[in-house]
Amino acid sequence: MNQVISIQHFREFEAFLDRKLFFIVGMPKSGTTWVQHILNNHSDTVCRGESHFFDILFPQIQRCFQHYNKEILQQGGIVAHLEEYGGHVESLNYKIDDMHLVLLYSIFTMFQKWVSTNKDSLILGEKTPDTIRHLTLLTSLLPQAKIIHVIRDGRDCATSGWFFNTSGMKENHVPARSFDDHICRFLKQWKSNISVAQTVGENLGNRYFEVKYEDLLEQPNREVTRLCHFLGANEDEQTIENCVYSARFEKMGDGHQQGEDQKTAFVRKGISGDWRNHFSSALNKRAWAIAGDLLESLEYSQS
Amino acid sequence: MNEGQYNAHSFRDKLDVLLGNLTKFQDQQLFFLGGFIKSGTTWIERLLDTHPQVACKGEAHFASLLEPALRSAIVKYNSVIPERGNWKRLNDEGVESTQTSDYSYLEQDFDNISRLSIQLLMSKWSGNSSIRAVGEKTPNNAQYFYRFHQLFPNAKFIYIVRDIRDVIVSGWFFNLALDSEGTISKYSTIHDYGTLIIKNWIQEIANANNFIEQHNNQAMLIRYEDLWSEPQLHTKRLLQFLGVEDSDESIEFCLEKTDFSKLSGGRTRGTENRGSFYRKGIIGDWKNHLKHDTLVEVELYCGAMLDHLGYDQYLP
Repeated sequence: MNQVISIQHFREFEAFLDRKLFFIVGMPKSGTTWVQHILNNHSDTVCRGESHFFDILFPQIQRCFQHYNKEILQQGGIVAHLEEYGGHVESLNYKIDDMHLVLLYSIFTMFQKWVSTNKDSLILGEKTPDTIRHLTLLTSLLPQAKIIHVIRDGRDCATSGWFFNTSGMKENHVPARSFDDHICRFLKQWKSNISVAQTVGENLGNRYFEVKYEDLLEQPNREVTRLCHFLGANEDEQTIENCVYSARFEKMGDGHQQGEDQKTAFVRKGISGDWRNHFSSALNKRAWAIAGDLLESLEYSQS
Repeated sequence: MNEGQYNAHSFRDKLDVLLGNLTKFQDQQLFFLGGFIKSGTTWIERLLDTHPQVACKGEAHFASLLEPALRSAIVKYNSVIPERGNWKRLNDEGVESTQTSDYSYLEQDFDNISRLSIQLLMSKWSGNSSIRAVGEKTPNNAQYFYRFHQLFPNAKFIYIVRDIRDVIVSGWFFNLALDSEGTISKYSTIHDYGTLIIKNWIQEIANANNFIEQHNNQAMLIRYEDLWSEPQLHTKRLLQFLGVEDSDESIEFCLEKTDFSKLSGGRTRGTENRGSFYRKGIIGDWKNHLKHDTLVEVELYCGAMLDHLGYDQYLP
């Protein structure tokens, strides 16, 4: 009989779908990579990324099957002009559920590369910031999965993003957008994406957890303990201390000090509130007009 | 697509159904039908599909359409990922990973995803619990038997062959029926069409023969002419090959349901309708249409193969 995908492999796939998975999401430059590193260094968890399962992989999969469906229909249509052909192209059609299953299987395949043996006790996670825009799809396909949403003051995200994007550019290069326009554009997205995520999060109850970058800076052990509690990972003091230490600024940066601006480094400065060094008061007014309500509800101050 | 449309509960229900299909599918005999176009592949597909223990559909073009599209998607993903936020990708020890294999889909991954995709579709054809064998027919499967065997080591293969001379005639009228002007402008005569077909045919059948010889437990060849002239015997052969029930009653049932008169909208064999997919349903019609030039080319390129396949008994 068929040993195509072996029964055992199938069972593994099925078990995976019910496994304790978590996904770290957030707006760019919110500290998602930091949280990923912390958790990856915890003995109970593995967190890799960025795999862009929902924003890059799934559209490719969809496109593939949609193209297939269309071609099959077209080919069937040509011959169907002949009398008595009687072909049944409806049995040659991939539905959206099929595409979802292929996506899940692809996700399973990727996770299998990261955890080579079946360590059932491990809590597995993945970080892709952009998954923040696909939470409904993710949670409907993986009902057991947990979401860690990393939030940071949008003004700091935008500022960080500006330096991140421009760091690779030559000195005389003129960016497409001015700093102010970049900030405002980013803040619109920041507000929109976080609002949607929070709405989805409300329906997820205890599968959704928010952590703020600023809180992590100020009280890392406390925040990481809370994270571990959320995930069901070990909250022992030494374990927490170890994983916080393993992702300290000195290690994540390019060898520079925290607070020191290293514009070409991925981990540039590592502080909160740097936006104040770069925003004119006019810009801050604009910023607050765009995202003030959310900033306020997240307890960020206007000035 | 509006994300709000997804309903978690209903997706898991559907997922369970899909997974259930796939699980059942594991116990069924997978098979692939192939053969040169106009060799009777559709006839045999229908014949087998009629059997209560067999589900056989076509033409899915898994190898020539699905796999290239899937490969394209995976390759695109693999190529884009390294550029996107790959700062300090972590490996097992939590240090920077330079292994792209940790974040890319490799060939064996592609094989697995392809297998799953093919099975997903085929497993839906066998919802009925009496089904023991599930097959797919695309004529060009014959060019990919090796690939299917690589993906599905336990699958079986049926190669259908027909006298190239009748294939030329059938193909000519088929193409005319689909697009008369286009066909004439492309080939002008049945002879020119034949010249092209002959070369493709001989290449395909040589490959198919090699495959069948190397995997003779899992691959069989059947001639259109044999099924035509001794239907019960060869239907029985097919059913036995697939490991399904091969009683005389079942055989009669299948043959009766797919008799030419049933397929052709009421005509008897020999009554031609050039607008129908089932044009005439006889063997040897080539004598009415092929000229000497074409027959000389057939003899040159295909004579040995035709002999090998036992076709000399049909020569005038």
